[in-house]
Amino acid sequence: MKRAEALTAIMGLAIAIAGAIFLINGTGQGGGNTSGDVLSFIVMIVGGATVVLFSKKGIKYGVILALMTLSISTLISNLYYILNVNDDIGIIFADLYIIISIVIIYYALSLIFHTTSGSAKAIICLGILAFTELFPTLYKFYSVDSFIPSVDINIDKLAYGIVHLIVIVILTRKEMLLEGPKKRLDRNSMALYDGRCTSADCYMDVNDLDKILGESEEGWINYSSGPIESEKEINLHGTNLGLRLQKWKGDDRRHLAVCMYNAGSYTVPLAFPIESIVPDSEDRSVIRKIRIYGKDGMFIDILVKNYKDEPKGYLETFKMNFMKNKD
Amino acid sequence: MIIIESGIKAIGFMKRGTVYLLALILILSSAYEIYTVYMADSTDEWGFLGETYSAVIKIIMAEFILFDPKKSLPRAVGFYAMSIGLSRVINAITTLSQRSAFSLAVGLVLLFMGGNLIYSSYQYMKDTVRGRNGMLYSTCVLALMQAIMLVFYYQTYKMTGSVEGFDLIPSAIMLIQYIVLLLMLDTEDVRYSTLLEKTSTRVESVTSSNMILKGFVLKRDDALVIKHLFDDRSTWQPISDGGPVEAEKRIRLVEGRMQSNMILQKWQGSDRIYVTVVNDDDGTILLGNRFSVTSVVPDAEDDNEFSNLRLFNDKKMLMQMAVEAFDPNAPKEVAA
Repeated sequence: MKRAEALTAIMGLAIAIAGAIFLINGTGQGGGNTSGDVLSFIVMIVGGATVVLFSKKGIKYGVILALMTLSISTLISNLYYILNVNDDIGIIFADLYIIISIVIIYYALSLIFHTTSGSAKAIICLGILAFTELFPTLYKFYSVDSFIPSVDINIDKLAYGIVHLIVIVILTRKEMLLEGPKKRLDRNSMALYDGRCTSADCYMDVNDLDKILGESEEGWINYSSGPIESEKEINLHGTNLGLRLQKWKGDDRRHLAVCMYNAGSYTVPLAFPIESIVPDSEDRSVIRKIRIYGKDGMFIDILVKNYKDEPKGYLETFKMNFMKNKD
Repeated sequence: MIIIESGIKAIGFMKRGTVYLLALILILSSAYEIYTVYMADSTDEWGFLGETYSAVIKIIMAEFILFDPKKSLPRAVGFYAMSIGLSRVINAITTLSQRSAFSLAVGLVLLFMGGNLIYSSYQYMKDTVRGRNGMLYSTCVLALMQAIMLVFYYQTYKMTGSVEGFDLIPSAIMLIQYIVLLLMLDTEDVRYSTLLEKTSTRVESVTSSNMILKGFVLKRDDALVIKHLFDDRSTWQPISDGGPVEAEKRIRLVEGRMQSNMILQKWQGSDRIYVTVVNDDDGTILLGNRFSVTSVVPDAEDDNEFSNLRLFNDKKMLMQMAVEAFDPNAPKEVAA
């Protein structure tokens, strides 16, 4: 079972179990459940079971069902409370719960119609519902010495709070993250930049010099079809761009392609046949820059540095040492 | 020029100094925490553990700042904020251990805000979208809480004497640490690493290397170089690397905060001048705006009177550049 399906099924199961707990705890003599409560708990059981049954449809589908289930059940029990109970303070809380439920329904509908740009409002609303049930309960646990009897007495409040927290956790999962305007701006501006400009600080590792100066025949990948005979990759550090040295069929010259990203999908903003390569020094040990010429004004300059000597952050150094030990 | 260079050096020095200052603040506050552990009531086990762990974390983070191979102000601020967040979470646990309604409320706020500060500083250092704002909000709330507590303690000290003046010092030190963090979050380096600033910089790089904006004005000296592209290249640098380039000239194009670099090249065996415009020419040059120029047409022939230049290749007009007015007192550029 995939991770997303498992999470959805757990969410549905938690909602159904919570509904069952409320129903069992509140029915019977001295149970205190009203008809509105019973209806809302049945909605939770049915809704939770539906989420589990349809967990293979995807996490987003499951989240929509879960949100509708929780908000409709909260709406039903609180509407019934307002219409049938005379308690000023209780009605204030019931009004708050109704408003929150409507906001959650609105968010669920916006997920259906793809009009939402973030799950912040749903997380905040679910958080408020969880907090109002969990905080008094947690305070009771905090103040008493014996923990287990308190759990037994407050099981329905705990279940209610935990179910809402589970849905909040799922809303923060990668599969549910919706790209807000800031993320889109970041992504698109980076793509525009990568396609048109280059950071002057990016460099090639000194150990890759052999590849580009043509002294190493290792690392060529052969292609049986298409105009390219073989190709080899050269990494650039400090940029998303990468270089591909290519041998084209019927052409003695090597070609250089500057690619945006080196795997998956990418465009090639610059490609040209190489006419000459000029390092800034004849002594290989002190080469700091190479210039590659094409024809008709085409040239590029690439800095050459030793990747191991460049300053790195602590995590990067740890990863580098970890990979070195692994090799 | 000397004043500008000295100013840049002074700013660099101040930034490095600020990095060391942050480490010093952490070391001093951890030294004070270790001192209070020594002097404190040995029956307060939670307090003892809390202060000790908090001091250890601050010393570790100070070392991270001091020995960071990629030392910079934004990274130092990230480590500093993380250390404060961690010490707040530890403080929250010791507060919660006191088991009262008040300590529950305070402890939960400290736990949540401290946790948020840790998460935000981690995201900030990972260079993601979230970061500076998260640190700012958490620090504001924590600073406000600390200020209220300090005023409360001070009032109690003045009115009842049940609190000693000495007891105010830990709160005051904590408040100073929050204020320093808030000030650091408002520095140019930290503000400029926000998403909006990074996006603006990227877009400006693309704009400046691919087009010239309406308000752009070319400096007179540079305009003369372009005007005489085909008949006077005495100020150009000869190139003898064995490649096809005979001579090269680099011009910096500046418009307000935006800057690009135009590399002009005369190639052997070609009449045209090849132009490469990049956002930064001090290092690797890969992507940029490349074109060739076959003629330059000023709006007046006299070197002191022309006010714009048009560049053409053999197929079309490429661009028009406005030129700054002639200043008879400006020093002339000497040939290379």
